[in-house]
This record gives sequence, C-alpha cells and structure tokens, in this order.
Amino acid sequence: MCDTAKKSASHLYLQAEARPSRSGSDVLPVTKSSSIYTLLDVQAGPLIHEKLPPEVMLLIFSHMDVVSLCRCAQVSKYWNFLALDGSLWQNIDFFAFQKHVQDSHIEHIARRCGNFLRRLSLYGCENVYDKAIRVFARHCHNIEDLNLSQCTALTDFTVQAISVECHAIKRLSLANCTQITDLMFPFLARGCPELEELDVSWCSMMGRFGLKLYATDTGSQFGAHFTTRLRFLRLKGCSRITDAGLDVLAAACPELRGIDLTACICVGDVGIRSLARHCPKLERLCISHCPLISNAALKCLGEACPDLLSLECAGCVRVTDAGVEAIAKHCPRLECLDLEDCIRLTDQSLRDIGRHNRRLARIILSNCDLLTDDGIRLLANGCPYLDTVELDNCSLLTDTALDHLRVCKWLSSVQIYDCRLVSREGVQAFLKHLKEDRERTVFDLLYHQSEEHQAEVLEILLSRQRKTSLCRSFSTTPPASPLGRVRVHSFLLPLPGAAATDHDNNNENQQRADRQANHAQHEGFHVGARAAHVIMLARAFLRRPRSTSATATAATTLANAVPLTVAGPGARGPAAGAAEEAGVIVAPPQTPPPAWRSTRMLEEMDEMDAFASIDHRNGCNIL
Amino acid sequence: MSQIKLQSSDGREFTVDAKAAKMSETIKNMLEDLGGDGENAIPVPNVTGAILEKVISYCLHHKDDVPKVVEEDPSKPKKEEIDAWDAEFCKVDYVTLFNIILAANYLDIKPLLDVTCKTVANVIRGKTPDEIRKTLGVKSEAPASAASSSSSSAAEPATA
Repeated sequence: MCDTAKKSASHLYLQAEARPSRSGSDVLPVTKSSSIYTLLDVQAGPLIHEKLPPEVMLLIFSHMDVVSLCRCAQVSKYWNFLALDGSLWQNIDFFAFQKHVQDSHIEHIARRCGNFLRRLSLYGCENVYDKAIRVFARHCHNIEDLNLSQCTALTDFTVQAISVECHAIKRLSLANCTQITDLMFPFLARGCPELEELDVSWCSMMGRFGLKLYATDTGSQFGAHFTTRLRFLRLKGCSRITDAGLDVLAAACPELRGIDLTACICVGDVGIRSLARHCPKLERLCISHCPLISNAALKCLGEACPDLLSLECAGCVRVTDAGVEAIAKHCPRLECLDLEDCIRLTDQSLRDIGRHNRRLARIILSNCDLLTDDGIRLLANGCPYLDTVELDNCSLLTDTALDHLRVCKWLSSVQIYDCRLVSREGVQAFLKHLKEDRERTVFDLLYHQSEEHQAEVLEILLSRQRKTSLCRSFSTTPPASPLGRVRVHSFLLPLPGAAATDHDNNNENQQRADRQANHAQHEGFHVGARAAHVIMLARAFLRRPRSTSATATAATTLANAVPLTVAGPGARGPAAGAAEEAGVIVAPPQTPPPAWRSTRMLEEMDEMDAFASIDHRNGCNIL
Repeated sequence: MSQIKLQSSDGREFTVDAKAAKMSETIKNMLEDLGGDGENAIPVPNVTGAILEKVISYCLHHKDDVPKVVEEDPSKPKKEEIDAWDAEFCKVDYVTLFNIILAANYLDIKPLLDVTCKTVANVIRGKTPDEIRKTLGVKSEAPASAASSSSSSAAEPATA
C-alpha cells in the first residue's frame, strides 16, 4: 500500500512539473510568496494538519483540481497520503496534460484509484496506448464514463479490454480515434450491456470491414447480443458506413433516441429507411451533409418515427417540399428543424411547417433562396414559439419578412446575413418593436450590410469574447450601435484546448468546430455543426474578396482572437501572422463559388466536391 | 422558543435565534433529544467564545437561506465561487479560519464547512508545493528528494 503510494506520488510530481507553460503562469513569483511567508508565518502557527482532522483535509482536497492535488501530494508524506486518497479521484480529467500523459501515468492512476474511479477523460492524450487501457480496465471496474476522444494511438484492443473488464460503462467516447474500426462492435455488444451513449465520430476506419459482415455471418448473434440499451450514437464523418452497415446497427439498437450521421456520405435513403423501421423511438436525427438523402428518406422517417423532436438535414440538396411536408405532417412534436442549404425548398414547405408544427422553436433556412416574405408569414403565424430563425442569404426576403416575424413573442435570435433587400431601417424598426413589445434581455440579430458595419459588429463580438471566456452567453448594449442588443452565444467561446492540436486533414476545421461544440454544449445532444458559427461568422463576414481596410482590420482582429477557427485551408494555424491570415481569408485561393454555395464554410469546399463525385458515382444505385 | 442560549468552552454565553442555531445539525439534534427549555444554556465545549461568535454571525446571516438543491452532476466540476459576504467572512487569519472549520465540523454546519474549505482550497490552488508549505506552515517531513521540486524529476527513474 505504502509502496504504491510512493510510486504514484512521484509520478504525480512528474505530471505536475510536466506542464511548464501553463503552470508557470499561475505560480506566484518567489519574491512575492516569500513576503507572504514572512507575513503569515506567525499567523499560520500550528501545522494545518495538526489542527485539522483528516476528514476535513479530504473535504478541502475535494475542492481541488488534478493539478492542485498533484502539488499537494508533494507537500509532505502525510499530505501525499491524503491527496492520493481514492475518494478524491472519482472523476479525473487529464485535459490539462494531454500529450504529456504517458502509459505509466494511467497505470499508476488506475492502481491508485481502483474501483473509486467513475469518470475518466483522456481527451487528447495521444501518447496513451492500448497497454495502459488494459491495465486501467483491470483495476477500474466501476468506470461509467470514459472519454478517449483524440487518443489516436488506441486500437480495437482497447475496446476489447474495456468490454472484458468494465461492464458498468455507460458512456464511451472514441471520437477521432482513427485506428478504431467496426470490429469493436461485437466486443461492446458482448461486454457492455449498460452502454447508453457511444461516440465514434470521425473514426475514419469505422465501416472498413463492412458492418454487413456480422449481419450475414453471425447476424442473429450479433443482433441479439448487441447493446440494446444504446440510446445515443454519434457517427459523424464515418464516411465508410453504408446503408447495409446502418441497417445492422439500427437493428441492434431498438432503444435508440438519437443518432448523428453528419457527413456519412455513403448513407442514403435505404439506410435511413432501415433506421426508421428499427428505431421507432428516434427523437433526434442529424443527417446533415449526407448528399444521397432525398424525399424518400424523409417520408419513411415521418411515417415510422412520429416522436421526432429534432431533425437536421442541412445540405441535403435533393430534399424538396414533398419531403418537408411528410416530416411536418407526421411529426407534430418537432422542435428543431435545420434545412440549411436545402435550396429547392419553396414557401410550400413553410406553409406545411406552419400548419403542423406548432411547437417548433428553432428553424434554419439559410441559403434557401427561393423563400419569400409570404412564406415567412405562414411560418410565423403557425409557429408562435419560434426562438431562433436563421435566414442567411435568403435573397428574396425584404423588410416585410421581419414585420411578419413580430408575431413570434419568444424570438431571441434572428440571423439575416446577406439578405440584401432588408434595409437598416427595417431592422431598426424591428428591434424597436421588440423593445416596446416587452422586456427582453437578449436579442441577437446578426445583420450585416456594409463592411464597416460588419467590422464594428465583429469588434464588439470579439472584444466581449475575450472578457467572457467562461460565460455561456451574455448580453450587452454597445453604445451607438445600430444593432441594439447583441448576444454572443456559447459558440463564440474560445476553444479550450486551442493550442493543442496542429494536425492537417480534410475535415480539420469541421472537426474543430465539432470539438468546440462538444465543449460548449457538454451534454446536449445538439447534433450538427451549429458551433461552426464562429467559422460561419468569419466566413460570412470575410467572404467577399473585396479587401477594404475595414475587412482587413476585422480579419486581423478575428485571426488574433480565434486563431484556430479562422485558420483557412491555406493558413498554417496560429503561427502564421495575423496579417497573413487576413490575406488568406480575404482573398481565398478558391474561385468564387456558385451562388448556393456561397455562404458555406470555405473549408467545406473540398468536402463538397467529394460529395458531388460520390453522388455521381452512386447515382445509379439509388435510382 | 425563539431564542436559545449557547455557552462556549471559555464560559461565554450567547443568546441566538433558534432558527440560526438549528443550522447546526449538532445543536438541532441536541434540542430535539433534550427538549431544551430555553433556560439552560447549551454547552458547546469544543468551541471558544471568539470562534463561536464568528460562527453565530454566519448562521444569523444565512438562517433564511433556501437549502440548495444538491446537484448530482459529476460531469461539472464543483463550483468554487464564494459569494461576497462569505468571502469577507473568511478573511481572517489562518488560525481563526482553521478553528472555524473545526467548529463547523463539530457543530455540523454544512454550508459553513463548505465555504471555509473552499477558501482554504483556493489558498492552496495555484501554489507550488514549496509555497504551500510556507503559506500553511506545513513542516516538510518528506524525504529530501521530494522536498524540492527540482529533485522530483530525479525521483522519477527510481519508480520506473
């Protein structure tokens, strides 16, 4: 016992010291501390732990984070004994250490904490290998929540180890573990009956062995033994998962409440049909950027999943009014609908939504540029509880559309970037009306016309962002601003591990936005890349190649403030000078995109081209 | 019975509002068990008058607080904010602070124990082991190798 204590302790020293850059800043300078010392020496008098009984000491330690605990462990033998008490280590997050975490640390922690450990996050610990997880699994049987996102060295053996030892696990995240394949599903099926949430987003090898394999060879077994309690499944960017694979998965998860299939570019109508059939309790579905999805999928969904609360199908360009009608009619409880970039939609869709979906709170119709003021009227009259409306680049809308929106008393956010026919006067009248209408604390109207104006808005947003790195949202009234009240959402938070990653891959920016979303909305199953708003903001704002001084200034500000999120395809991350970043963004290398693409994030362009080619290839299969 | 008498270890007597006194689980239980008549002072033998006075002032300030709903959400780190009055209350020298903690522990006043422990935790947070020792007067009885942070890395190979 004592021996292990010593061992762990000295390992913890290492960890605490292995973080020079950040820990350095919060350590008091020696001179200062010594002056405190002389001041307090007399006061402190008796030793703290002679004074306080161990249970109180533990209570004090329970308010500390990992770093502080490690330091306390170095204070004295007695403190070491106390600080490494298992009860303090039920919930460990190694986010502060990331790449410095080695296998040996995990093993020590595992031995030390044993069955106390409930939650462990190794987010971004790229130097952790299967071996460590095996030791960990052997010692910590009671783990319930394990986050292994971005532990890129892990393979399927990790999942095997977990499935053999940790039967109580409820949440498992393997996002961005690029070596994990679909071979892990049988392990989970066998060993983790309690699993409710599984995240395998951006595991590009997922589906490599064709989930179909299990369906044909050992199909019945796999189906029967798979974790039937799985409720949330995230498969973002698993581009190898096909309709057949989705069929197998869906058949194994009858309790599924939410599934995220963002950018699963091989999933089409057939897959969604099996999903709808097997998972009638589905409440949240994200099929954004699945270019093969068409009306047929939405019809199946509508008929089979009447409980749907949230549907995101941004960028499903094949969807037309008929598809939206099927959803609107059959899913009366719908609260959130994302139809961004569904460019074929017309006012007919809005009429159907207005007629059937009274509960709708959030709708995104950006880039649906066939919509007119009349459609907005139908929508606003039919959905009184609307909270968020996004209408960026709906170029036919005029001030009248804003007038129609006045009937929605709960509005807190309206976005109308690039609605060229909406005038500043119209916006001001709208804001004034809202103000008079009732007391409201937040109103967020992202509205941009002139570039000077944009610069001003961005300045405001960014200056606030710096000051409120931890607030979820806040409101303010910028002086002499035509914007009225501006709310900055959580998506403007700086990415917590901002300086941590410098990888280069295709989905990089999307992934970053994703990670940011995960951080910002820790629990909410808010599928889709809503947190890509930072990027959207930057893009919408800097899209035009005209480079006025105002844009350049704002770009520089932006580049300085959120270096990661604005790093464009050509940029080399935060290291590239701000001015250079500005140059990259303001004059992007791409040719001007076609109109319907124009507000898309630039970094999605490559992805879109990929979609287009796959679309073309698979066209004959679908039709 | 709206007033209760408490007697500290050094014999000082305090007359306290019953509601405030019942913030202490210990006193509450005592009253229930003994059926206090309000005449005899309840002895609080482990707490001196000066400290008891502080504790009572805390209880008087917080006696009408609505008990907080316990958030059983382990995903969020515990909140470390301390409200302004409490922060001011905790601005005392360490000996007093430790004595308040002890009193809160003995009298079982959970919010007071929480806030004082948080205060100590905040003192410790962000300091190096050396600074912690100096600030809180912990005698460094650890082996020499662990005493200074520079040699802690030297201790590493031994464990590997």
